[in-house]
Amino acid sequence: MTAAPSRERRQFRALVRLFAYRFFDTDIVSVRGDLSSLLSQFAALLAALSLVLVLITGPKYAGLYQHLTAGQLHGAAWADQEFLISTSMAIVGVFTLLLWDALFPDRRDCMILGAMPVRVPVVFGAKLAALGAALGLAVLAVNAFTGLACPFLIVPGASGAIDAVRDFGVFWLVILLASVFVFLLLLAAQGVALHLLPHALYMRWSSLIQTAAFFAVLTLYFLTPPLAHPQALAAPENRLWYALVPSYWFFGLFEVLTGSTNAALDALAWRALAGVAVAAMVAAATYALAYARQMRRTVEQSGIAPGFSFSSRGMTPWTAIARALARRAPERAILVFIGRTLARSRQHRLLLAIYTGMGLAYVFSQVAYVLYHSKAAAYGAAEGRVQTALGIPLILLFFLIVGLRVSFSIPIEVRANWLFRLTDPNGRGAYLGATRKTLLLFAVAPVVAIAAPIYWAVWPWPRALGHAAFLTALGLLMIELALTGFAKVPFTCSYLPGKANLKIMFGVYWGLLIIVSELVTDVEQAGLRSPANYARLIGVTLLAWLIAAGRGRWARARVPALSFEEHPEPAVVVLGLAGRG
Amino acid sequence: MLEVCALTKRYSGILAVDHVSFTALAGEVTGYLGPNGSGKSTTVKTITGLLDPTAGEILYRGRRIRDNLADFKRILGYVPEEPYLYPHLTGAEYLELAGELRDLPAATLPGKIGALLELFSLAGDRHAPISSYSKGMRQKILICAAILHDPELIVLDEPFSGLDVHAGLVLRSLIRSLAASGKTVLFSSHVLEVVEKVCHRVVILHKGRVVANDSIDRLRDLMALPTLEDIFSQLVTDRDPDATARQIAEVVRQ
Repeated sequence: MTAAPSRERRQFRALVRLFAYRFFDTDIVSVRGDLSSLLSQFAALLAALSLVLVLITGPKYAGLYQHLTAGQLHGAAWADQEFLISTSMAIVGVFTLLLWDALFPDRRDCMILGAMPVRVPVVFGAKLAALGAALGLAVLAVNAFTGLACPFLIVPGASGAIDAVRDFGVFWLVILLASVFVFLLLLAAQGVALHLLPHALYMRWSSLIQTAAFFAVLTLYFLTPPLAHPQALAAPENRLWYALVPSYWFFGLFEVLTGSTNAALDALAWRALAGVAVAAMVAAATYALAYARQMRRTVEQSGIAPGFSFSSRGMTPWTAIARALARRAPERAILVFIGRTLARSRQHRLLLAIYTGMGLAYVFSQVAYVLYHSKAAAYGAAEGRVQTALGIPLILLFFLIVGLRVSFSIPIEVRANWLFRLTDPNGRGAYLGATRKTLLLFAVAPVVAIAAPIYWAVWPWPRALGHAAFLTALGLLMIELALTGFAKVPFTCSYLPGKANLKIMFGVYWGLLIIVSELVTDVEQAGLRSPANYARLIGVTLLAWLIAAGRGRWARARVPALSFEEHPEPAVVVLGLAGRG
Repeated sequence: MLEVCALTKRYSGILAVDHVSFTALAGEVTGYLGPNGSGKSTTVKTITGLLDPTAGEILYRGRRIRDNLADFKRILGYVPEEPYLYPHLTGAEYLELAGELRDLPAATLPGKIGALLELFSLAGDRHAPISSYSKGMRQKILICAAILHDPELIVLDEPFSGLDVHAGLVLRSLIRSLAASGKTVLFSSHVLEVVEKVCHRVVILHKGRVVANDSIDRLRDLMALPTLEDIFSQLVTDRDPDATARQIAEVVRQ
């Protein structure tokens, strides 16, 4: 038998490895490799972002130092300091929220570890160590290039080797403190929720808190006005922004530690330090105290949110909608199944929130451009606003449809799909009809329903109506394109993570989306000038939809059976050229 | 009548079921026995259409089921070996899903589900998510789903798994009464005492091959053994169970 300290060290190492693997085991990075391969892929992904930031931030200083006054240089440098700090904070925030459910051991961990001679403090320590390593790696990677180059660029007035070393150290210290603050704040939020809410309520609201925090991080990052400027700091109307937005506190800390003596920045620096201290105290008190209790509670529950009590007739609003929309029982059954899965599965809800969040991030960045960017105000502001207004629902529609389509591919208890496999001959067409109707109801209908009244309020009604019609037609087309080759019942087919090679495809899709959305909004903007042109535009879109729908039907008719098992890509792809002259 | 003719199934070249042939008659319960890994569940999954056979045929009422799998699946009720259900649905919702997928009339479905849940002592948990159900409760849901559409052919793979004594007695009686009403029942199990009491005839499988196929009484007479357990041990047990148990205990002590 091994001695207790040695045994616990082995347990600790094994658990850190297990927990760390789970954090990174996502579709963004390959799951086939070992942990070191996974970590390096993950780090490379974030480091690439850092390189882009250096390429955006760095070159302008080459010219700035020679041509700008000290005040103008400070303005530019302050904006970049705040930008780098807030970007690190946003990434740590999003990353922590993605790990929201992993902050505590899950049910499987508790069931397995609970029966083993592993003390709770060892599990707790391993979890914290794994979290720290994961977040540390994320912070390090996302600042890999900016952290080397920017400290020497974004501190005007620094000179000599001592200043350079100080700026370098201060940059990393502030980035680290800002990241720790965000992490602890979210940990504290979860800890407080655990203590204040009864367990059943916590289980139901946890994913809502997670989603709300996710959107809050994105909103704060993209829609906070760019006020890191000497004049803005002095303006009394900006005091509330400085007091409330944490990235400004850490920007103040950075400035103070690199030699600024401004009293307003001094106050911000103290606020940053106080923020870290308070977040650390609340997180330590709530998270640590909740740990042992949560492990016990976790054994008693599952990853599924508790079901809501239904009336004796078993009718919920979604069931009623499904009954109204689907005449055949199998189609109705699938509609209800999809709705219930999206409503109750935390994994699928989170996935949908991530895609919606990405859509909102792009939309927010566009809105921020129109609201804050000086060039937009100087020229083409009206045109820019119209284009942004036209583009917002389009982008949201795209991300909702893609998010739903991706979530359909992720199974919920894949081994239970035998029920559908035994009954699929009863309504193969019904399955696809239900999937299409779900996309219509969950993506197109809400976007059009929210957008139409807003446009109605700000535009003349024919224009608002026209845009709503165009949006609907485009939504129908997007649905057909999203369902190309989809011969599955949502949530029932096995899934091979990494098959989609998202590392490459994500960038391609993102680039294509931006190009296509700009193109579509340009075309629509041109069409808005004449009703005849607009009618033609809608007609062409509807025609494209009909063609896509017909093509989809034709392709699906050739599929011999619904797919319930995803197969890996073959190691060797045969081109099929043999025998063709 | 269900006829399995020279059924063969290979997984990546490995032979799981080797020329298995037997007949399950309407109005009878046919027991399907064999040790772990003998090919029972593979046969059952092939009969239900979940797996494609490598070779051989399955006939129902004299017709190849592959010629019209849709019609065959409509008259089939199936309890799988493991109680895999959708954990985010309640018991009632799962049965509603099964009923609607089978296109049962909406007018009678809720009443039928309610009655079955009541009779299986699940009425109090009908609105609780399946994730909170015990193994026995999940098994009851599977049994309800298998008979909800009044199938002609019922395939049961370890249906007693996790059931309490009362539910086990109910199911035993239910299997007999289903057969008595003219249905064909194929019953795969390890629980030999139950098989002996419920089945009219048994098919014993060993290493993918049929080693016995007859009524239990005839097997007893033929092999001059008093119980089904003795017959089973004689046909499929390669090693002395007591000696194996002693060896396991020694390994654990090392």
